[in-house]
Amino acid sequence: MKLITTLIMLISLSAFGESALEVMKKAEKASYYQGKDGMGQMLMKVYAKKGASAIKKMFYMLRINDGTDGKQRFLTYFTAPSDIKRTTFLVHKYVDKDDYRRLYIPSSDKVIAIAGSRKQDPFMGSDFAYEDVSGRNIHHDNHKLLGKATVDGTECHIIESAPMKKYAASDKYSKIKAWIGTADSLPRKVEYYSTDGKLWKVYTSGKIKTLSGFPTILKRSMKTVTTGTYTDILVNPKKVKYNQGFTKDMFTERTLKNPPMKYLK
Amino acid sequence: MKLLLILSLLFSAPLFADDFEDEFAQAGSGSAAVRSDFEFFGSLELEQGHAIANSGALKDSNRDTVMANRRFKLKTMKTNDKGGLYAKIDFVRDDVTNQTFTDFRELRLQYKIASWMDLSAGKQVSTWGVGDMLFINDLFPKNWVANFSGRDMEYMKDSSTSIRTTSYFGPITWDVVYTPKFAPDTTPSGCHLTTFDPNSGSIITSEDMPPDAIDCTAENDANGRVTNADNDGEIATAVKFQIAGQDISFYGYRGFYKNPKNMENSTGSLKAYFPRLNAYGMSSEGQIGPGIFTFEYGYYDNQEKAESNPLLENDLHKYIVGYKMDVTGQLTIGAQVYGEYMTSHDKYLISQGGSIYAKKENQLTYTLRIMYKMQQETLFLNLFTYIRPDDHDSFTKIDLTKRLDNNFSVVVGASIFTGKDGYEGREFGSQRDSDMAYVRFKYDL
Repeated sequence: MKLITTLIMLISLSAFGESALEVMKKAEKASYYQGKDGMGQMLMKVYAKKGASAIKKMFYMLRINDGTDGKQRFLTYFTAPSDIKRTTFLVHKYVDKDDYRRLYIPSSDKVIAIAGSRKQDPFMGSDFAYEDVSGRNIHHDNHKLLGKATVDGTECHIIESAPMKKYAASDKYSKIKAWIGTADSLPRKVEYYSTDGKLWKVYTSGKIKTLSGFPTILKRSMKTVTTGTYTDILVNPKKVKYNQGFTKDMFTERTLKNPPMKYLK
Repeated sequence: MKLLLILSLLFSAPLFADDFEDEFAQAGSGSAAVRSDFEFFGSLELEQGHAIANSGALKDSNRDTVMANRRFKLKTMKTNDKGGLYAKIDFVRDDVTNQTFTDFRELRLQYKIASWMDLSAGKQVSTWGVGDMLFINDLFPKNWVANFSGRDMEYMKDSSTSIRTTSYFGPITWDVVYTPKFAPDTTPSGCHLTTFDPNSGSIITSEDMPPDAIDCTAENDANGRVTNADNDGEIATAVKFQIAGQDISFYGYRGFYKNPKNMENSTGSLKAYFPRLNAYGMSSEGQIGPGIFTFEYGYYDNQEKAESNPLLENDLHKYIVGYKMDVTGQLTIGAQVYGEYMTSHDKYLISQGGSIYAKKENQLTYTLRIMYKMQQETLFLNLFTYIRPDDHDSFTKIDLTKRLDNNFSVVVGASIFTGKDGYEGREFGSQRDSDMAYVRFKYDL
C-alpha cells in the first residue's frame, strides 16, 4: 500500500514536473520565438532611483529564428542618444553553447568581439540581464508548478524554477518564481532570488496588446530590490512586426556595418 | 547660419515625453529632419588639458595649456537600401595653436555596386586589426597627439580620403582601401605637447624652434602635413573569415611608415622622412575560455634599410598576443604583449655605431587595460597603460567618465609619461615632460 502511494506520488510528481516544463516551453515561445521572425522599436529607460530622471537608449531589435533547436539571430541598431547612434550589436544565440556576439562602433568603424558567456551581465547598463532580453535556457532549470493565482485580473500559473545542480554554481540566481498567463503564456511577474536566497530582482509586464495575431508585451519593467534601481523597456506598438521574411544573411557582419535601413526608419 | 544649424539639430534630436506612446511618436519618425530623409545629430564639446609637471620642456616654455578645444560636431546621414551619404564634420577652435578649422571626419558616399560588393568613397575612418591601442596591420592614420592629450578615443583614428570596396563571397569578406595621397599619422611636433630634437638630443616644444621651422597646423590636420610621399598613395587589403567562432584575417599593405624617421636633407637640417614600407600579416580574434583572445602578426618588409641609412631600421616581425575578459559584470581586464623582432640585427647594430641606446633585437611592450563600470553604466573608470622596458618608457592614461543626463557627459583624467635619460627619442620618453590633467564636457544634440 505504502509502495503504491509512493508510486502514485512519484508519477503525479513527474506529471506535475512535466506540465511545469510544458508551461515554461510555451512561455519561452510566447516571449522570444513568436512567428518566424520579428522586430520592434524599443525605448529603454534606466532609473537610478524612484523619481530620478531616466537615462534613455532607443534601438530597433530584429530577430530571426534559425532552425528548430532554439538558435536565433538578433540585430540591434541604436538610434539614440546621438553618441551611440549607428552602433549595432549582432548576436547569434545558441542554447547549448556561448553566444556569438559582435559589436560595431561606427566612430572608429570597428567590429569588436564580445564574450558570449556572460548571459547574466547587465544589458546596456540596465537592470535587465542579457538573458532577460534574449531568453534563458529553460532546460538548465528544474521547474515546479506551485498552483494558480490572479495577477491584475489575469489568471496565471505560478512556476518555481531553480538551476539544475550542474548549472547552479555558475548561475547568479538560486530560484526564479514566475507568474505566467494561462491564456497567452506571457509572464506577468517574475521574482529572481540571489544565491543567498534573498529576493533580488522583480520583473513586471505592463500593457499587453495583440499585434499581427501575437500577444506582445509593450512595457517590461525590472526592479532591483537590493539597490532600488529600475528599468523600463517600452515597445513601440506601431513598429512591432512579425513574419517579415527576414533572411539569415541580414544578421551578419555585413549588416552590422550596413544595417537594413528600410526596417529602421 | 550656424544658429539655424543648431536649431535644426535641436529639433531633430529625439524628443522624449513621459507617456511612452508619445515618446515613440516624437522620437521615431516624426521629426522634421527625419521626414526630409536627412537625419541631423551631433554634439558640442569642450576639451581642456593642463600640464601638471613641475619641470621640463613644457614648464620651461611657460606652456601650461596643452589642449584647449571647442568643438561643434555635426553629423548627418541619408540612407536607402542601396547605401547612403554620411557626413561627420567638426568645427573646431583650438586656443593652443590659435586656429579655427574644419575637420571632415567623414564625408563619404556608400553604394552597393553589386549584390556582393559595397563601395565607399570619400573622407572616412578605416581600421582593422585586433590590437587594443596597438597597431600592426592597421596602417591607417592614427592621431597620437589626440591619444596622449586625452581627447575622445574616437580621435585616435584620423580620417583619410580613400576609396574602399568591401566584397562578400559567402563567408569571406574582402576589403581594399586605396588612399591616393599618403596619409601619415599625427605625431607630436611640439605644438601641443613636446617633441624630441635629435640635433640637441633634448626634449623641446615649438617655442624652442625658429617660427618658420614648424608648422603647427599639421597637428590639427595630418592631411595637410607635407611629406616625401605626397605624390604617392597607399593600398591596404584584408581578407576576413571565421573558423570555429574565431575571426581570422589576412592583410597586405603597400605604402610608407606612418611615423616619420628623422633624416638629414640636402641642406643639412633634419627633416621628417617617411620610408617606404610593405607589410603582410594575419590576425585572429574570438572567444577562448571566458574571454576574448587576440593574436596578430605582421612582417614589415622595409624598402629602405638600416644598412643604407643609420636612421632607419631593418625588417621587423611584429606580433601581439592579448587576452581580455569580463571578470565581473562591472570589471573588464585586458592585457597584451607586443613584440618587435628586428631581422639582421647585427647589421643594424653596426649601422648604429655600437650605440648603447640602439634598439634591441626583440623590443617588448606590455599593455594593461582596466575598465570598471558603475552606477548602471553611467560612470566609467578607464585605465590603459603601455610599459616598454626596452625603451625605458611608459604611458598611462586614467580617466573617469560620468554621464550626467541624456545629453551631458563629463570626463576627467590624466596622462602620465615616464622616460629615461638617453632614451628621450623614444615614443613615450619624448613626452616625459608632458604629464597632464584633462577635462572634457560634452553635450549631445
